[in-house]
Parts: sequence; C-alpha cells; structure tokens
Amino acid sequence: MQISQMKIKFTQEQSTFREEVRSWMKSNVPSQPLHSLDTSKGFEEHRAWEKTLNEGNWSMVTWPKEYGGRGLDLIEWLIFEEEYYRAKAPTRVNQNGVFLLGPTLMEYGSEHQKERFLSAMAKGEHIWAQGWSEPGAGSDMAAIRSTAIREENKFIINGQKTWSSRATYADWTFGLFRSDSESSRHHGLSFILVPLDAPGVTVRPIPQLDGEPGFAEIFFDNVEVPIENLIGEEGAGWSIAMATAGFERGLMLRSPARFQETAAHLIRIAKQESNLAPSIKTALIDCWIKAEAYALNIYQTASKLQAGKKIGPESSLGKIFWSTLDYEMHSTALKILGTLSELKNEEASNAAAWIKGFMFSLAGPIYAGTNEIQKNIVAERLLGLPR
Amino acid sequence: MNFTFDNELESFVSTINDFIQKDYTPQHIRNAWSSGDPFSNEHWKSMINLGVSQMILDEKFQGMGLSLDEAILVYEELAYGGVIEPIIEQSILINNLAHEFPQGLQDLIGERLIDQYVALTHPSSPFVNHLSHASGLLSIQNNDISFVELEGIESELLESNDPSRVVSSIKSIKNSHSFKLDPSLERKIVSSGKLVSALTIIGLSRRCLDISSEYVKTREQFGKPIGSFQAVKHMLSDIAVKIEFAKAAIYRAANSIISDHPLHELHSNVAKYLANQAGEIATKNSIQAHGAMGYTWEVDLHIFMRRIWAFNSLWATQSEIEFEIESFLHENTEKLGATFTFTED
Repeated sequence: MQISQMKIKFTQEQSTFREEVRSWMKSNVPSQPLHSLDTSKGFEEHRAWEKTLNEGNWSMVTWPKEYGGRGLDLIEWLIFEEEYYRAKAPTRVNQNGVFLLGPTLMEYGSEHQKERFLSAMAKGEHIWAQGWSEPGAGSDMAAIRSTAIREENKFIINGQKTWSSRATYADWTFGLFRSDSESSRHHGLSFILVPLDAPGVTVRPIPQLDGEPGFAEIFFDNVEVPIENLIGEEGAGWSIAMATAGFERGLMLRSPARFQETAAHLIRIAKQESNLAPSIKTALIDCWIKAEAYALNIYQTASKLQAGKKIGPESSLGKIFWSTLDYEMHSTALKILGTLSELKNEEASNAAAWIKGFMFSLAGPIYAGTNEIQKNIVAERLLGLPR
Repeated sequence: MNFTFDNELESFVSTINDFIQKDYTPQHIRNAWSSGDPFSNEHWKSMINLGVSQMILDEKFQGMGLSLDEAILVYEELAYGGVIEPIIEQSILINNLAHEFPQGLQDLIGERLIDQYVALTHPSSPFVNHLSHASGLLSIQNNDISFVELEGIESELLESNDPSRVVSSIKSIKNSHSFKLDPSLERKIVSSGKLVSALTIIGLSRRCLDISSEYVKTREQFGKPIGSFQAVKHMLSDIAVKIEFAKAAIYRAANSIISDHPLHELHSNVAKYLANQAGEIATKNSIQAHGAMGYTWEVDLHIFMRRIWAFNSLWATQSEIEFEIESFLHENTEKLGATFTFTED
C-alpha cells in the first residue's frame, strides 16, 4: 500500500513538546482557582499569572521569536492549549492584547509601536480592552460616531464606547474612531490606542448577567492622544479592524480544548446521576460529538493553513458552531445539576462554575459579531447569495 | 500531524466533477429512472475507466493501492453527483478491504474486483442494490462471509423511495462458498458501511445546498431575489455549518479504518451521526427554501434528497449509533477531555 500523506497522529517532537508544557503547567498552575478576573482582586491575580506565564516564556507562544514568542506553529499551539485547559490554568485576562492587538501590531504597527507595546503586553504590564462598539454601533460597527480629530501632533478624542470587554480594570484600549468628521460608514475611521488613565477618560463599569463588571462604557471628553498611537494610516482603520476581527473569529481564541474539557466535565457530572431523562442523554451525546467535530475541524483547518492555504469567511462557520455548542453544553449541565443549579456560592457545590459558564455561554452568540451577522456572511460570501 | 489531502488528488476530484457535470446530469438520472433499469453499464464503464474502483484496490488485484483517506474526496464527489451505480459501495466496502478477506475468498472473487460489481448484504444493510447487475453476492451472517453466483440466489424485488436504488431482499441462496469471517474484519466492514453512508449523505447535502443557493438567487418575490431575505440566508447557512463540521470527522473515520485504529467504530459512528444531522437539515431547509416548488417532482432537488433519506439508516440506525456512543462514553469517562481526540489507544 502507498503511504498516505494524511497523518492523523502527533510526531515524536510534538509529543515531546506536549510533555514539556504538561510538566511546566503541573509545577506552575495555581492549585486554587483564582478569583474572577472581573473583580479588582481577581484581575490583579490574573495579571500576576500573565507575568508567571511570561517568565516561563509561555505567554505569547505563537508570536514569532523576534517579538519574544516561541514561534509555535498552529498544531503546536493546539497542543499547548490542550495542556493549558487540561491543567485548568487561569483564563487569559489579556487575550484582547495577546490574540487580537498583538497580531494586529505585528502586521500594521511601526517598529516603534511594536517595541513599545508588545513586550509590555507579554509581561501583563498593559492589559487591553476592546473599544469597538458604541451605543449606536453594535452589529453595525460602521455606524461609529466617536471622533479623533487631528490637531498637529495629536488626536482630540470625543465620544463614547460601550460593551468594552475588560475595560473596568484594564490599562489601555484599542478602537476605531472617526478621524474625518465629514466621512461616513467605513471611510474616515482610524485605529487608535488610548491609555485608560488619560485625562478626560471616564470608565463606567457595566455589571453583566453574572453580576460582575466584565465590560464597561468608556467616555472620552477632549482626550489628547499623541499621533504615535495611531496604527497604520489615518483613515485606514476599517480594514485594520477587519483583520483584528478576523483574529477574533479565527481559531486562536477558540481552541477546541476549552470545549472538549467542558464536554468531558459534562459527561462526568452526568455519570453521577442515576436517573437521567432520555432527552438529557441525547443532549450529552450530541454535545460530546460536536466538541469532537469542532476539534477535528480545527486540526484540519490548522493543517490547511500550515500547508499554505488561506481561510476567509469559513471562520464564520466556526463561530456559529462553537457558540451554539457552548450554550448547549452549559444548558444541559444545569438540567443535570437540578436544584443545585440555583446556587451561586462556590462552597456549596460545583454548580457555581456551571452557572457562571452558562451565563457566559449566552454571550457567545453575540460577541465577536452576532451569529445572525455570521450567517449573513456565510450566505453572502460562501454561498454567493445577494446582499 | 497533517490533516490535509495530497494535491494530486485535487485534479482527480475535478475530473470526477467534469464527468458529473457533463455525463451525469439530473436529466441523465431522470432518463435512467424512466428506462425501467436505472443502472447504466455505460456509466459504470466510464467510472471504471476513470479508475474509481481500482484506485484503492490493493496492487495484488491489479489495483492502484492508494489509501482510502487520500481518495475519499473522489468518492464524496461521486456522491455529490448522485451516481446511481453502487461504485462507492463497491470501492469502500469491498475493494478497499479485499486484501484482508479470507484467502479462499480472495482467490474466488479477486479477478472480478477490477471492473465488476460485487453486491454485498449484511444485517445492517439487508437490501441488495442492483442485484441483477452484480457478478455475484457477498453475504455476511453469523460470523461467516459467503460468496454466491447470481444463479444461486432467490430474491424478491422491492421498491425503494429512491428510484436510483433498485433493491431486493434475499430469500435463499444455493451453492454458496462460505468462509469464517474474522470479527475484527467484520467490524471494519461495518465501520466502512457507516463511512459510505456518511460520505454519501455529505456529498448529497452539498448538492442540495448548491441547488438551493442557485434557486434563491434567481427566484424573485416582492421584487427581489428571495436569497436576499435574511430568513432564507440563515436557513441555508445552517446547512453550510452542519456540512462543514461533519467533513473532518468523516475523513478521520476513513483514516482510522485503514490504519486499524482501535477506535474506528467510535470514529465512524461520530462521522455518521454528524452526517445524519447535516442530511436532515440539508433536506428540510432545502425544500423550505424552494417553497412549493420544493414539494414537486419537477425540481431536481428530490433526486438528491431521496438518496439522503435512503442512506440515513443504512449500516447503523440513529438509535444504534447513539447507544454505542453512549456506552463508550460511559465506560471511558476518565479518558475524555482535551487530549482524547487523537489518542491512539
């Protein structure tokens, strides 16, 4: 028989790498879960974890070596993530920075900007918030009205951002501002970085469904920002932001490990119940299979990318899939946990984590572009349906 | 870890696609249906000449000996075409495994595999398709595999809801040659059957989606194409999502079968489960996207939908798949998690 090119198993090097990650995680992951990253105490604990990760050179593993990363390829990244979730390591408080702004800077930033921001991001010194949405610009992001008007060597920023993830405790935000006040829609927008402690910035925390301020409103009142904080060309913000949003929908942020661990955990809590309704058993099987399907798909996508192929609107399919699955898993868990699923105190049961996860799973179909928008993208760009 | 296909196969896939577009149109299928005997010797020969069934046949039978996971896209494309002749079944169920059959059986049927149709029946796929065109029948029952020539078979012709399938039930067989079937080979045959049905359903689901996408681009109501309405867009996107997330699982199952992965049964169950879901939504939403036209014999859509429905329960019913996966999860709970998917034991 001819040897198949398709090899669905790890190489010796990949397995060795896995062992290295596993052993580091074993000695370094905090034995007790950290406090929620959306509390001021928990936020600092998570910042400290970013620093610890960075000391082991594990914070920016996919970044090229020249920027202080490990230059991991995508398969190694997936292995890293599997070990990360397997070890129950803390949530990355700086994922806006690491996975969204970092790659954006590498592609569009100046040398000076890379130097100034990448390493501080890696160490957890700068934790980043997203500054896209505005009260009148959610799904329709081109409706942005906040302005950044150029005056000599600085921009004067006015307006309001909202639903800005991590902004309550973060140090910086990146976002789109209208730098040409005569412009409309996706023209005349600029991609600008703003320190959240600048004079004129007011951050008002917004409590989320879980009661914690995971996002915030940001008000800008004549905030002065030097033009060094502009990424790319003035007025070219839209296409840069689209690249950033592509990173968000892409596979980096939603590695399968997270869903596989949740699915496995779900099966384990179900096993403790002797009397499960047939509908719940069906849901369990369905969830587990879909987590598998997601993993297989992502490994295939990663292989394609490594072979030099490109993916475009296909990432919208993935976003719809994982967010639907995440909700299904958590909603099934609450049914299994029964009356405990009401209890929020962590001491009482392990239900608290599921409730928090359930609340968060409700956000999945909304953030990173609602699933309705994703379905439009699939229909128009993959299936060729008219706008 | 490399989950991609050989680039050379891409050109073969496009050759198959050319064949379908030119020689295997929906009109060909309609003509075949009305001819009384839809199996076309001419189409069978064309596909043999393209190398479809020799491709994964072992070299000892003068095949090309390509591996199934490489060749799988070729079969998916034939499924997309809605080919009537059971060449996907012949290739994946028989030719791909023939070199593992008992030696006596290999001696008996080896020469036929290069260009003839050998039918197969198994308790999970009891009806024999296009029996009158077979050069013989392989029958699997009670740990035995038997080969019987057509003259030795007494059968009853049934009527399938898919006119492309001409199915018979076997009443009795005479003068058969029986061999012990290794249980591990039988499991591989069943996994291959699940793979065939999963792959067929996915190819056909893609076809339904393409037909529906074309239709909603051209059909106008309220002065614009109905495909510009979000309700219609979202229905079709839902199909695309289900198809996308079944594919890798199918290719994985193919890889597991040929590499004797100890979990090939689980992998083929997962593949079939996902394909069934895709097929269900592909058919239901495609009819809906066509409106009343979707409920007619006139629109080509049903040619492909009927095959999806027929393959839905072949080689494993939904209940069997779910029970088998449930018991696997129950017995292997501790192994599950982020590192489970690519475990090798």
